[in-house]
Amino acid sequence: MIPIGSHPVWHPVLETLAYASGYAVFKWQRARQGDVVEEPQRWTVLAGAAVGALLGSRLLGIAEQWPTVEAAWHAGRLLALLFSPGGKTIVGGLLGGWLGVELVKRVSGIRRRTGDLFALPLCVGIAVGRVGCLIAGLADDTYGKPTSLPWAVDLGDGIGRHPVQVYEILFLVLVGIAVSVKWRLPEGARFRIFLGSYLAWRVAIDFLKPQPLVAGMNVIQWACVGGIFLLGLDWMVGRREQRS
Amino acid sequence: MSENGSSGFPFSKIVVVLACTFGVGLGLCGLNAVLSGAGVTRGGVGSVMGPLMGVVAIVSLLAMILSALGLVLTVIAWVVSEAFGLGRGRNEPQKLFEDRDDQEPKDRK
Repeated sequence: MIPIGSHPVWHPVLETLAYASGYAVFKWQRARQGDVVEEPQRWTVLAGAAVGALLGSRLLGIAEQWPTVEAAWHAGRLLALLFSPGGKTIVGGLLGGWLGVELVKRVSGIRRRTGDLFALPLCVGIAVGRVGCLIAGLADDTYGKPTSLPWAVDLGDGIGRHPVQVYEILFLVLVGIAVSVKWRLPEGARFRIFLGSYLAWRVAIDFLKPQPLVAGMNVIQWACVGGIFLLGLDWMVGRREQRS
Repeated sequence: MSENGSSGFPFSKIVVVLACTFGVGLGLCGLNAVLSGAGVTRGGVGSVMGPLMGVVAIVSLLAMILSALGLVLTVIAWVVSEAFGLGRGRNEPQKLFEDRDDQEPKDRK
């Protein structure tokens, strides 16, 4: 068993580092590859992504802990819970950010697919953020179920757990390589490969997390299923538009 | 919606910075200190972390409040600016002479 303990103070530090590293990779990639939209439009897209991600990650983060929400509702403390610390999820951020971008693009009249430049920065940013989740330990709601495997981690309670954050970092390295390879892909395909594979990964890996379940899966897994369905719809609409 | 709105003000950049600040502030523990008395904790977080008092708590709380207020105000201002086209054309270069098709530069052949 690998002793790690719980150090929640480091989580915001690593979270800030995650944003910074993601943005640094985005800037580097944009300078190297160029962009399908002009800089003003890119900033508009980024603003839509940031606000959408903020709302999405918070709403799904609260919904994830639905027994706590239910208790707060009955106690009349729902507003206090909404503003309580923590409670953000990457899946909510990705889905909210995606919807935010699509909304802003529609309002702004941007027709190009703008997500490809986000695929690698998101891999890097999430991987860095997950280091913070691992160090935060039991204070973060992302720890794994108990296991007797030799690489189990002790987060301070003496129980060996799946290092699900490390599994996810390794997965993101593979996705990062896949979206960086210079395959000839249609515009927007790299982002969709990233998003689809990440959502599918979360459906699978969240079975190793002790979260409250609704009809056999946790709220995040259901959100991932919904996201994959939306992604499929988006792909079909895109193909139909290409044909016509 | 453009990056600088119609007024040349960098709304989108400010929105991105404020949203990130609010996101990080939410992950910090300022509100934990305030809400610990109300018994509002999520998923056992409070029992492990405890109320983290001190400078970090106050700074994170201030960051959250200011960035949330700033975010709402900036988005409203951006939407209003776009809707009414405030300051539209202020930054566009003025044309002193109308272009004429029959006047071509001498060096163009």
